[in-house]
Amino acid sequence: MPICDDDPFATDVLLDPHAFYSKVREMGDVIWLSRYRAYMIGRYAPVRNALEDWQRFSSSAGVGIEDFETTGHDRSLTLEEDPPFHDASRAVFSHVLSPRSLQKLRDSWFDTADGLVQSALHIGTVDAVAALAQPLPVAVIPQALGVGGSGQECLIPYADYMFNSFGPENDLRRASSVGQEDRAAWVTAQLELNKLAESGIGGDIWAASQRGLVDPDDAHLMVRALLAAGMDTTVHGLGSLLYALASHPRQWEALRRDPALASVAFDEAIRWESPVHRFFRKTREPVRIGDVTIPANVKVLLLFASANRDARRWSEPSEPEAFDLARNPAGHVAFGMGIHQCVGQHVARLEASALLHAMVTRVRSIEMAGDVTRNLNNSVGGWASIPIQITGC
Amino acid sequence: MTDRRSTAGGQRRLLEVTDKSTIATNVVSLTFRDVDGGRLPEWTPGSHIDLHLPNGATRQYSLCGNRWKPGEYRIAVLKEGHGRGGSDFIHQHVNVGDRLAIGGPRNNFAILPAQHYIFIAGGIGITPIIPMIDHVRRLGARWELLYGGRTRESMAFLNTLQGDNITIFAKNEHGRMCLRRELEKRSQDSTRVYCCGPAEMVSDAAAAVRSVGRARFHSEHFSAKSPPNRLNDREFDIHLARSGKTLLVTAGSSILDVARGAGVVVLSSCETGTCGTCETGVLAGVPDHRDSIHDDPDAVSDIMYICVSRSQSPHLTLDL
Ligand code: HEM
Ligand code: FES
Repeated sequence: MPICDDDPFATDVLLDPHAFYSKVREMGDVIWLSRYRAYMIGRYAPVRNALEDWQRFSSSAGVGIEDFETTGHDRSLTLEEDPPFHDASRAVFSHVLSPRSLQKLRDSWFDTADGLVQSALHIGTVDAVAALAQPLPVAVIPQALGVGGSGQECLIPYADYMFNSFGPENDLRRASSVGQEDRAAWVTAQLELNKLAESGIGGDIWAASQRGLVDPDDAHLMVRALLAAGMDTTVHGLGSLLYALASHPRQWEALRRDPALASVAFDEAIRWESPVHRFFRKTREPVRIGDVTIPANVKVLLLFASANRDARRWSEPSEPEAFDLARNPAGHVAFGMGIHQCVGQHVARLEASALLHAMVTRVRSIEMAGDVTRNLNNSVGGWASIPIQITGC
Repeated sequence: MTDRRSTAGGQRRLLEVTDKSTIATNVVSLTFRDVDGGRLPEWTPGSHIDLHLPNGATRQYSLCGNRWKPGEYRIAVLKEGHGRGGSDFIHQHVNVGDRLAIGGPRNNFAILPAQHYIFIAGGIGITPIIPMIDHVRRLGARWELLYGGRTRESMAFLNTLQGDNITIFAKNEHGRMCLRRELEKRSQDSTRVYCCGPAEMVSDAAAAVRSVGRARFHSEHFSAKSPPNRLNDREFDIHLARSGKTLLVTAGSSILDVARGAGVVVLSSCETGTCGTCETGVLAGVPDHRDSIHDDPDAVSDIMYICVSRSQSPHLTLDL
């Protein structure tokens, strides 16, 4: 079996993740990650198979590097549960976050995105993260959940730490923990259920718990989970989209000519640069993949962002490194796959379509205006800044 | 490694019978697997599948197998003895190695959280209860089973059901169970009662729960319309209102494939009718819903999931 002595959580890897992933994919289907005594998978087919095979690749020992069955720490609701524990909260999430339930948010999200694009156009040369990718989720997600008031910006570092904590106890994780207690206290204060607006998604979850569909204690944790899961992921997802469009002028032109391409643009962008890079599973029995057998009861690192660049799957109509709107991105694993597949995916797509609509309507050109800086995190990938120049129609 | 997309795409699902065995008087159990040996769509306790039989009948059967065996579905079928129809056909003519078309799974009898459960099963009504018991056992909830039948020999799964919390009523030994008395003894405020059996028993149980006054009662909701027989997929036309195209969807292709093939940009993800990404508005025509997203798809009749669903009418007009 191929052995990797590198640290996938080291700063140099996080700065240039795709170089590491392509090396991992060349090594084989399954790799021994010596430093963490875990296994690692980076090719598309075995990543996807593992994601679908919840019976053998379990989430309930935690989807981070830590094995909760050894440390005794609490797992999080839904994301870190297998059936039958997964079923009830997942069913409620699916219902309150379905495209149908989100329809009522559409107009106001389109207006918010339009306002942000207009302000950015006014300035001309902006950081796409600070001007667009970050303010949109900050403006719409907490409000949709029914979390009003001010101070929502702290949700970004709050979630940044949560995603770091799926990785090892490294400098990155330690640095992002500074101030986390205050941020967690802010979140707890907002989540006093009587503070949640009745009309929001948080209110819908609370109502579901009153109907007995989930435990009332869990309802509280579910809203909290959405605040963590729905912010940084979409900031980075929208960042991928803006970076893709600014760095691929021909694709931007194609989109302007045929706005119907907007429906695949976001999914192709997060295939190309996936916000969630990696999560772990734990094997419940020995699993044979090719000529390697992963033993039972070990952690396996699944590289989502690598699977989405595997040429064994993504060579049509162009190589996987290309952001290409002619590609059919169906089957990408940026949202995962199987029973844990992102239950917030329709939320993320609604944000993206609001942004794209405003861009296609108002923007004539979008170009890079400097070098991008990566945001370093143990589990999610994205940009701290994307300098762009945009001009109006 | 194969490209997984090739297995999806609106094909009706053909399952092969891998086991047929008699598990009680007039009750056979059938085990199925996918003809390609892959994973079958996910299901939860209380789910049923539609079985499309070669004699033209479509019947619904509760799944009674194990979710931890992802390549397998299991059902149990009571011979109803009218000489025709679904169950007799299965008893007489369906054999190991046969291939049958199925629809679903769907769940109109989902098990909801509770601290305490009372399951009431009459005869073959035990089938959905079997995976429910496994489910609540794993959750660590308290539960009891009241299981009635004509004779012990006629009652399926008896050998797997043992323990203080299980009460068996064989009519030839004990007479009928008095549901009211049994529920009075056992019901608590946090109890959910799940009941499956003959219609008369279900209404008695509902009345008994009401009169005892504690506990919440659940029985299976059967959809008003029975699903179309999908033994052979038919071709139909789609008219795409926004792009102005009219296209033919042949028996072997999906709406998604056909629309995409004609240059319409449509987003999909799972292509198995579970994620909701390919949701499409239906402007005219009657869809044949094959997704596992809505347990009662007729309740949301103006949308469909075009990666798997087809049409019952010869034409369908879509918002594409
Ligand atoms: C581009 C944006 C997003 C990306 C890339 C993303 C990615 C993912 C991935 C990869 C998973 C599966 C994890 C696993 O298999 O272990 C997941 C699950 C989840 N996501 Fe997202 N997500 C995004 C946005 C959102 C949003 C906006 C919300 C909520 C409003 C959300 C809520 C959730 C929840 C609750 C789960 C757990 C589902 C389950 O375990 O059944 N996500 N997400
Ligand atoms: S693509 Fe997932 S439901 Fe059709």
